[in-house]
Amino acid sequence: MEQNCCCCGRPIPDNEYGTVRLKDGQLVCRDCADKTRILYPFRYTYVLTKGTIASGWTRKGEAIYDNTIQGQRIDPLKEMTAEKFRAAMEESLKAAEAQAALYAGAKAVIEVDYVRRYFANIGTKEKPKYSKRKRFGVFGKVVHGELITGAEVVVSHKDKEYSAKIEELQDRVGTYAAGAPVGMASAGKEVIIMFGQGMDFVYPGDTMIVR
Amino acid sequence: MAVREKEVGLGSCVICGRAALRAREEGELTMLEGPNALRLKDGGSLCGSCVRKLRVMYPVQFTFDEAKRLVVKKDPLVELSTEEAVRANAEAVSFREDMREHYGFHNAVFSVDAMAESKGGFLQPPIVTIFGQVLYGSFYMQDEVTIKSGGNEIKAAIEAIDAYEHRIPMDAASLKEWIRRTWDPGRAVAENGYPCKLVVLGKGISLKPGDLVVKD
Repeated sequence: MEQNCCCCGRPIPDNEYGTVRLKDGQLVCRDCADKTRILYPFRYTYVLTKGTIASGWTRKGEAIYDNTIQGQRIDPLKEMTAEKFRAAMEESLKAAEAQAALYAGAKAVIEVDYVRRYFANIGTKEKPKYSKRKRFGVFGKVVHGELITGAEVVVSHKDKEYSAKIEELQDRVGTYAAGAPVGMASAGKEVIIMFGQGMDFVYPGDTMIVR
Repeated sequence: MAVREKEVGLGSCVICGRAALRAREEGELTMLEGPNALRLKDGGSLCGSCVRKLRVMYPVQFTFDEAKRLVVKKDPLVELSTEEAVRANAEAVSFREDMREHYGFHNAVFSVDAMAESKGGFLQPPIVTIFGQVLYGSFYMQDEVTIKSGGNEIKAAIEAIDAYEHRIPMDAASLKEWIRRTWDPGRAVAENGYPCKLVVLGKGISLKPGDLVVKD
């Protein structure tokens, strides 16, 4: 059954990616949820929880589950009521305006956590041979604006400005380094930005700017 | 029965507020990427990302025991208070930029502690294992590096990167084994502030402590 967003009133199709169900059962659409991520980002953590695969059976035939540690993405919006969400939305819009004033002229700003190089094995499992193609992933957080695939990012250092074109954006869906490709990432979201060139000039703590 | 979920780790990072997670020797947490979160002197926590940022200012200090095994002598980050860590976070980027300027704006610099050479096999160049610590930047497999020693510059490619746990040079068999068992060489990264060993192939490489391996 289709429901409307409790903030903007937009009808939300069933199973739309990014939709949030609030504590009081109301739905928030993806666009409204994304706007609040600047102040209420996801929390990526590990939780000790009950395992899903039975480790044994009791004499009565009941399954026994051990505790396991699993990566989890905690959404702070799920703990809010609709009223509290509207207040959070107002706060977030003000915060976004303050960030826009701070980074005047920038379409998007990313704070870098770390950089990782990816290798493709073009050999076999027994005799691996790694491709010389450069593919780098920059793990970071969007602190202002909206980041889109194909945008050119600039990193300023003391010697010169370095630039690179974004090949792909990936959503960080958990604590592991796997992500689903996304077209756009808004402020407050953690993303993996893939580049098809060497990114040795990017260091943890750097700020990447899209002009 | 209701499932109780309990968050594991060291709580929230005092700088960025994210979950401070620590890798464990066993279980799923061994897959955790990057350096561990750590507990500060006054009980606050730093997450792995913030540890990476600050490590350039506070590199791990190491020594060797009687069996020539590497022992972490001192981790200066653990001795910081929350206030000092927050202040260091504000200064980390400018500190690294000054360091880059000092070393001639190379993308990554590795300081040599020792080197060892082993035979590369029939008609193969010798395998040179370089022990030391990354001053800033990161080194990956297949990176083209310049080895600077006594006014000479030698170009080489990194064949393997390994943990500097023991001062044992890599021979031809262990290099082959390293390449076979490393299913994702992107994880084998030499990051700033940590001791590690780089393996290169080449003739006539002679290094002294204090020599540099740089990447442009």
